[in-house]
Amino acid sequence: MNEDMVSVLDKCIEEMEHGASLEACVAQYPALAAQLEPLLRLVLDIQSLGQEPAPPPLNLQAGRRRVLREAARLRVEQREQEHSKQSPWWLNLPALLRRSAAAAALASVLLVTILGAGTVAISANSLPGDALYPVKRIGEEVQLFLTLDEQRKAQLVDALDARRRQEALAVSSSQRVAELSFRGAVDSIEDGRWTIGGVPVRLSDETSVGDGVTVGSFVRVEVRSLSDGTLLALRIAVEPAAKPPRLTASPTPAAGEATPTELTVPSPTPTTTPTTRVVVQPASSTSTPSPTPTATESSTPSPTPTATDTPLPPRQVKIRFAGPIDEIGADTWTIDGRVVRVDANTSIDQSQAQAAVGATASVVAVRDDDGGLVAVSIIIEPPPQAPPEPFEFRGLIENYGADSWTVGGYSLAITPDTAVEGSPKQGLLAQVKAVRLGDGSLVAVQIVVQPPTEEVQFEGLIQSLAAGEWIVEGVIVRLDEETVVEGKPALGAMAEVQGLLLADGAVLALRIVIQPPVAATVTPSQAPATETPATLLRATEIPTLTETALSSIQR
Amino acid sequence: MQPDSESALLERARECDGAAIAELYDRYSLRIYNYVYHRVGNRNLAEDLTSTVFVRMLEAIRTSKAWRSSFSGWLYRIAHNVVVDHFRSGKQDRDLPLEDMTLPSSERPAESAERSITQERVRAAINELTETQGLVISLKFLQGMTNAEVASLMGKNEGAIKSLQFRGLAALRRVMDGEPL
Repeated sequence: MNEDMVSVLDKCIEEMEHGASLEACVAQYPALAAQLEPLLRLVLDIQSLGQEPAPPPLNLQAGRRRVLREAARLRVEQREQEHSKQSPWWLNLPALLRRSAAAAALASVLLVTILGAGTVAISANSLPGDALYPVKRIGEEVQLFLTLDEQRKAQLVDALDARRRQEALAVSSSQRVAELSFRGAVDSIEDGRWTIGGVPVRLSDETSVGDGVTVGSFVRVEVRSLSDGTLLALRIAVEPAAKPPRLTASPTPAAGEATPTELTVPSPTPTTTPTTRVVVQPASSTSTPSPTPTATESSTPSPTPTATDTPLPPRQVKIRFAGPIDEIGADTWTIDGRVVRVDANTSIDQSQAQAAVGATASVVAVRDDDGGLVAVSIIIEPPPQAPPEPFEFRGLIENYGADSWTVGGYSLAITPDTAVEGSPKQGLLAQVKAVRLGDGSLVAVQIVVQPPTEEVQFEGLIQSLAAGEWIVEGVIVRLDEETVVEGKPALGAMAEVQGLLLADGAVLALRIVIQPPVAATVTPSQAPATETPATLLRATEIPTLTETALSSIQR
Repeated sequence: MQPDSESALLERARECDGAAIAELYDRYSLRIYNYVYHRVGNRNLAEDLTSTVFVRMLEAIRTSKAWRSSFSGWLYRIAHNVVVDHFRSGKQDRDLPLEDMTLPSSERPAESAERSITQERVRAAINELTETQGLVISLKFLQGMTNAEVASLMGKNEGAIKSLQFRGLAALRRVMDGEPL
C-alpha cells in the first residue's frame, strides 16, 4: 500500500507540475483518493511559499565580512594549536619547571612525597590509557629536567622516543583505544599506510600531513589506536631532529655509565632502514674530538658537526602585540617599533584590510634561536571606525536634491533623519552639522538655510543667457522655478532685475523684466553720445532705477 | 564528486584559507540565501542566517567529512539545521523586522491574510520534520528541484527521495493537524 502510495504521490506531483489539476490526478486513483488529496493540497501550499521569488539580498557582503573574520580567528587558533601541540599538562612540566630551580626542587620533592618511589616504579610498564601512565610521563619529564649534561640528555630523549614507539606497538597489539604520539623517521610511504620509526600507521582523509614530510623525515605523529589494533594517524608533522649526543669531548661520565650507549639517530637521507644505529663509546675525560663512533647498521655514520650539533628546538613562547605597521620589508616587517621576521610559514591575513605602512596589524610571533621575533601570523586589522564626530561648517548651497546636497564644496548625504530648516536655493548660505562616516563620507544631521536679508533691484544689459543663470550687467543672476520672467530674453536686451542678494555676490532673481528694444527713440538730449544703450535705456525707460545698480528695496 | 577546482578550494577552506572561503561564499551564498529566505520569509533574517550557515560550515568542514560527497548538499543540510535552530531558539518572534509586502492585485486582504497564516504554519511545520525529510520537502517544493537533483545533492537514489517525500508530506500533515508525529 505504502509502496503504491509513494509512487502514485510522486506521479501526481509530477503531473501537477506539468499543468494537471489536483482533482484530475486524484480521480485517477479513487482507492487512494482519501489519502492522496490532502497530501497534494499540502504540496500546493508548500509550493506557494516557493513561488514568491526571494527579494534580492541587500547586504550579503556584511555576511561575507563576518564569515571572513571568523575564518581569520579560526586560522589563528588553528596555528596556535599546531604550535602548542596541545600537550597535556604533565608533558609541559619542563616548561613549568624551567622557570626556576626552586620550582624544580620543589616538584621533585613533591613527586617523591606524593607519588612515592613505588608508584613511579609500578607505572613503568603502563601504557597510554592506563591510570598510571601520567605518573610514568611525569617521572620521565623530571628525569629529563634533572639531566643537565647535554649528551646524556640527548641520549635520554632518544631513549624516550624509542619508548614511545614501543608503547605504540604495545597499544596496537593489545587493541586498546587510546590517543598517543611518538617521534621517528618515516620509513616508508605506501598509499595510506606508512611506517614511522618501525611503527606501522594508517592514514585517512582526515589525517593532516605537514609540509615537507618525505621518506626519511623525522616526524612527530599523533595517532589514535582503534579497537582492531590499527594506529590511525591524526597528524604528522616534521619535527626538529632531537639533539643527538655530542661526539666531541664531554665531561667524564658518572660511575656506572661506562657502558656503550645505543643511540637512535634520525637518518638524514631516505634509507631502507628506519634509523641508523650508532654505538658510541662513553666519552673519555680527554678532549679527543672524535670518539670513533662505529655504525652497526650503517657503514658511514659520519656524524658531521652540522648533524650532531643541531640544537634542541627552542620552546616556543607566543608573543602577541598589535600596532601600526612602520615598515614592510622583504623579510622583515616593523610593527609598533618591533622588528619581526616574515617567512614562508607566516600567515598574513589581509581579508579585512591590505597590508600597508600605517595600517594596524595584530601579530603572533615566536622567538628564534637568536632571540629575534618570527611572525607566525599577522592579521591586518581594518581601519578603526572613526567615531562620528559632529562636523559643522557654513557654505553656499551649490546644489540640492532629495538624497544629497553640495554645500561649500562638501557632498552631503541626506537621510530621512536630516533636519532641514528653511527653503534651500542654490547660492544661499547654509549652516551645516554633519557626521563623517568611516569611509569619509558626510551625512547631514542638520542644515539651516540662511535666507538672504537684502533685496536688490538693478538693470542692465543681458550679457549671458544660460539655463538657470544669466549675467546681467556683470552680475550673476540665478533663476529658479519661482523666478518670474517678463518679456523675451535676448543677449543685448535690457533687463530689470529684482531679487535677493546671495552670499556669493550673485542675485537670486524674483522677477526679471525684459525691456523691448527702443534704440530708435534715443535722443542725444537724454544721454551723452558715449553712453551705452543700456544706460540710455535706463535713463529713458526707468529713470528711477538708474541711481544705483544694486539698491536695497522694500517690497 | 567535486570538480577538481572545488575540491582544492574545499581543502584550502579546511585550513581556513581566507581567499578560498571568500570564493565559496561568493559561489554559494545566493543559493543558500534563497533557500533560507523561503524557509523564513524575511529578507533581513535570511541574510543573517545565511552568514550563520557559512560560519557553521567553517567549524564543521574541519571535523566532518560529509562534505566530500556533495558540498552543496552538505551546505543545504547546514542551512536546514540553522533555520530549525533559529525557530527552536524562539528568537523568531522578536527579531523579525517588518518588511514591505506587496499584495497580489487580484487578492483581497482577507485572502492574503489567510494565505499568510497558512504559509507560516507550513514553514513552522517543516521545522518539525527530520533533517532528511525537511530537506527533501524544502529542496523539492521550495527550491523547485527535481527528484534527480535532490538525490544528487543528498547522495541518495531517487527511490529514497520519493520515499522521503511521501513520509515527509505525511508527517507534515500530521504536524499541521496537531497530531503526534
